[in-house]
Amino acid sequence: MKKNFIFIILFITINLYSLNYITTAESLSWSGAYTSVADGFEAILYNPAGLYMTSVRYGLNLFGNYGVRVYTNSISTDHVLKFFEKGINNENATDLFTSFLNFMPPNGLDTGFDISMLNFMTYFRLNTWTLGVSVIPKTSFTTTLEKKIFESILQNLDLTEPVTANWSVNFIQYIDFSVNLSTRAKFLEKHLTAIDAIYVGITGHFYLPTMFIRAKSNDTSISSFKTNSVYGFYGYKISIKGDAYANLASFITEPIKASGTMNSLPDNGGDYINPLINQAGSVGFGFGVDMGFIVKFNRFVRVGFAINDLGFFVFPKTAKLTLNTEANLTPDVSSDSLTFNFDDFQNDLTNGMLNGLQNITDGSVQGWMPSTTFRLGVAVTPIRHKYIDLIIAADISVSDLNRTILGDYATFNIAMGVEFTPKVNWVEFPMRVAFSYNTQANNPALSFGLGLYLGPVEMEIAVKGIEILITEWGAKEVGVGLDFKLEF
Amino acid sequence: MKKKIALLFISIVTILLVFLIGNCAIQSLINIINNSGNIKPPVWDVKFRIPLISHHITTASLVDPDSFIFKQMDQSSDATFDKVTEEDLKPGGIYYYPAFNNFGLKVGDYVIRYEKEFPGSANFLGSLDNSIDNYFDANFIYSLPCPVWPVSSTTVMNVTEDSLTSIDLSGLLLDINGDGSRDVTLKGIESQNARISLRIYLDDSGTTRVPSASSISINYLQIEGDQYHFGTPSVSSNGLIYTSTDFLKAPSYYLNFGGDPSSDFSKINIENFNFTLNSGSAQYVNCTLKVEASITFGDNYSLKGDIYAMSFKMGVQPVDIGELDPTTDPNDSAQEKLAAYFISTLSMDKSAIVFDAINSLPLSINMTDMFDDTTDSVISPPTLPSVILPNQNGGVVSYFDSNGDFTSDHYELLSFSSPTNVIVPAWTSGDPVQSRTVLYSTNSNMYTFIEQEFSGVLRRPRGMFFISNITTDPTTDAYLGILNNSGGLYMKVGLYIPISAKVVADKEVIELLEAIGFNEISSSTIALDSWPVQNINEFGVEIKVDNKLPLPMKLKFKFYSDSTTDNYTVYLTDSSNKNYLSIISGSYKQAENGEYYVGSNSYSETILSLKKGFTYYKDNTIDSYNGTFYDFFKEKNTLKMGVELNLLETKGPDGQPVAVRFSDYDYITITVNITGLGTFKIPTE
Repeated sequence: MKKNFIFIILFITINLYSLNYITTAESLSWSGAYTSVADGFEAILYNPAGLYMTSVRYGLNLFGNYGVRVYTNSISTDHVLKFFEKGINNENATDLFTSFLNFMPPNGLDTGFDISMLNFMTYFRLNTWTLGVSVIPKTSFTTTLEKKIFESILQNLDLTEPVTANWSVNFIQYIDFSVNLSTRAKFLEKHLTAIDAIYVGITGHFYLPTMFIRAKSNDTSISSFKTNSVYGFYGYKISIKGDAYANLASFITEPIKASGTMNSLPDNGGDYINPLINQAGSVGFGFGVDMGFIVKFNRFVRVGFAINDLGFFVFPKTAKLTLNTEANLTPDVSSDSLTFNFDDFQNDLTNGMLNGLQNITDGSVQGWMPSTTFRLGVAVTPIRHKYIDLIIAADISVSDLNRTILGDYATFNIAMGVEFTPKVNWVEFPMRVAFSYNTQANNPALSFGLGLYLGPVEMEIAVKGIEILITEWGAKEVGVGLDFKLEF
Repeated sequence: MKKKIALLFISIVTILLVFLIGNCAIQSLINIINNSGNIKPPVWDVKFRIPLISHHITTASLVDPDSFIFKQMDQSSDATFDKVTEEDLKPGGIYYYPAFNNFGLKVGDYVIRYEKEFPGSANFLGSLDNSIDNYFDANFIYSLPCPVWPVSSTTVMNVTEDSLTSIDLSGLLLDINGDGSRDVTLKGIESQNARISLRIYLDDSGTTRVPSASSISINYLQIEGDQYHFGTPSVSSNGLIYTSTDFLKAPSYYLNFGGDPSSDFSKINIENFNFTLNSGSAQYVNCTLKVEASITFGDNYSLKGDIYAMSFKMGVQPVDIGELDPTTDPNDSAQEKLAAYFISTLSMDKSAIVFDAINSLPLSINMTDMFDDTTDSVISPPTLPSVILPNQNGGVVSYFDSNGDFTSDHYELLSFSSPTNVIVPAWTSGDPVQSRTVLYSTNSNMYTFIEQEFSGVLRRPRGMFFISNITTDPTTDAYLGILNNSGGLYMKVGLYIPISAKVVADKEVIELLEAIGFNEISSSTIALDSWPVQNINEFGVEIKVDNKLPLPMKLKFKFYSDSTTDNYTVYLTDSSNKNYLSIISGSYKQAENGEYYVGSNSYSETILSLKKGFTYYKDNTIDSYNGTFYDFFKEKNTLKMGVELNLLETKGPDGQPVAVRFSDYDYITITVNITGLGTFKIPTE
């Protein structure tokens, strides 16, 4: 059961990921292509300048936005399907793993999972400016695992040199309270007569973190070592070493401690969780700002630029977990025969990792930054007709700059999309198709979305990753979104 | 314009539909769902390279006291291992002998040394020195009852011989040759550092009282006709200590034990003790004045005397060199065989018999008859040589076992090639006389003495015997030097064998791993089922040999069965497997039978991989196995792993066998990695 407990923790650890372009179904269907020049709720999220550009007076995401996103940067859905097919057909999967490793970037496996829900957003427009308010829970969880470990397990296991398996984990969950102001920069428009309009906006954020974990290995490897055997035999060692800093909001930990819930966990799970809760509880905070502008050249073309979540977090108190696990598989020569004791090896490994969870000290004050993003986009609206609207948009961005703190890479994204909206009176039926590529998933992706606007009531659904249906391609990033909102 | 836009949109949709319909992954998903009961992880191929063994063996470790070879050699109590230092090769050093190029040694080389000291004379005078020191230490020479102390009136005392204690020399056994009889009649001692100390104190009913320095004055002490004087005493808790100021001083430095009128050499006569008791206020009553003398003669002195005729009986001194004989018994352990294997390669080219003598006796010792190719001893192997009588001819004999039946049946007498007198010079004065005589291959029959070929087999002696019985002539009034508390006649013979190897023909094969006590691998003991391996399609070993030993060798890597249950052998290095042997990389050099050849002072590295369909030997007949070696291993469950070694002939540039020297800087490093291409699986419980 101890092993299962560790497995569960690892599973959770490697399957959460930050949110990109999926806060609303509409942005998901655009794959971000329209986010720099959008109006409405997308403006609150991605470019505050766009909010004043909104044609309606009020907006409220009455029933919220819902989205789920799963991605890896290496394993496509095509790989997964073939993996199972080969198992069923008793086929060798060497070529499949080679393909998988060819797609894996040098920095290793990057994988994630995200859920977006319970967002609250509203805005209202006045004569000269628009005010937006939002309360958005955000979750960002990234993990990387060095490529060399996969190459060793799947292609070439060479223990004559240590096989390093460095990893990093960054998890932050917080509630983002923001206030958005947007208006037209008429003082600039006076000097730039060739331009129809310039919209500017700014958003202030107050971040209230609920959970923060930042971990990085300092020596995780599989290696061989010389034993004391007179015969000169080698032993083999797995070393897992790293430090983690964790913070949990006091308004969460205190009720948990008071209730004693953790003490009832199976397999004495409380023995491992309680020290963390006791040491990590405090109230962190953070501040940030968004800034952006949109230049509307004419009724056909507009260009936007925005910076999002430029800010910081402070965690007054953290717990430091030190993992220092070593398990040796040492050959024993007795009675002229060579013996390996695998049971001892497995027990050492399991107990070492569990003991690491209890090795908690004061991690003092820690800082962090939100997922700062820079975006630049352009939108063309060649058709605005009584019955048909057509928008073509493109966007380029760099996001997740906070990952560079841990030595990981930021994410670059390019996206292009088309929205075709048949409409009759107060009924609109927007359809969107977008193509995107980002360095995080490292795979071209297609998204598709449908909407139904019935007057002020707007409903959207979107799917990203429809390349999942195409063999030899497959999806590495899959998202599903659903919006239900009012704009009038 | 609108038409163009519509056309673009329709085109995009069409392309997507083609993708979806033409290569739809849904079919794969349906297939998986329909076969959900058969879902299991697939296997995959992985190249692997796992370090298995690394051995770094230095020459130093081979002759380490804990090494097996050392222990084997050290079974001979006469043998010592020695590493040559810079000091050893300088004048005065143990291996300094320019006439024989310092035995061909250089710093860091190793030497096996067998040594034997001549009995009787060794350090005789050193022990005599202690005896003399002890003999003259704290002799009471005079006692005087004193009713009151200090005396009431000043009195000059002149004590004559009758009242003094003489030092009797008859108890000194001067046995130079260790035969238990007196060899010298002492006549005197010559010393430039001699002194007499007098301790004077009062015995007050068993309690020591120290008289005041003013209460007594010593005028002189007369010994064997000469008067000696004393300076101001030092005061100690034991009494007043007076030290002589002119004892044995210039010009003669000599104490003649027969200096008294009777010329009696049997004792040292103290003839007159003249001193003054000074008056003073009474401090003690009814006590005894005691005078105690100690005589020391310093570090360097000479004993003068008449030396009788002596016989130095070495008798028959055996030196155990049986470990040099590589003959092994079938019942020997594998380790003994391994040690014998390497010991048998020892070269005797630079071996030498060294005869060292250090002499401070006035006697020259003629050892010539030990090395004149004749002896009066009856020599009949395997019987020990007979003891010779005084004045009979000695010798140095080696015994051989010519047919390997562990019984000596042949002997060889050591002798110079041309007549050479081996005479230890007599000492006259100053430092002891040192002499060294060396018999080696070019000035003696050393080679045949230490190594002979019998029926094509090179053999070394199983024993060596030194036979000697030296008789010296009597001398009179001769001096025996005691120098730095040692001296006498110290004679030692030694056999020096610089450790080098010479392989005159390729040696037989020996099983290395079996010799060191390990070779069996069982699929159950290494928990093969626990490894995530389904099969190993290619199995091999990566061999790296960094051979800084001066010996070329061939190696054969193999897996084989226990011959008690089955009889099959798989050679990784074998010409019969060449079609299945993948030399992936490296400098592998194949010998004539497919062995792995490693030259002397060379580095080689290669990977040998055994593919599916390899050949193997079953009951000495070549057969083939259609599966992989992994299948073979699992099928047999237990295999022995073996490394066959045979050392190759050491040849010089002219192609002739040469001896190659081992030094501290030699080593061999053997690294073995397991390599191959395996099919791995995800472990499932």
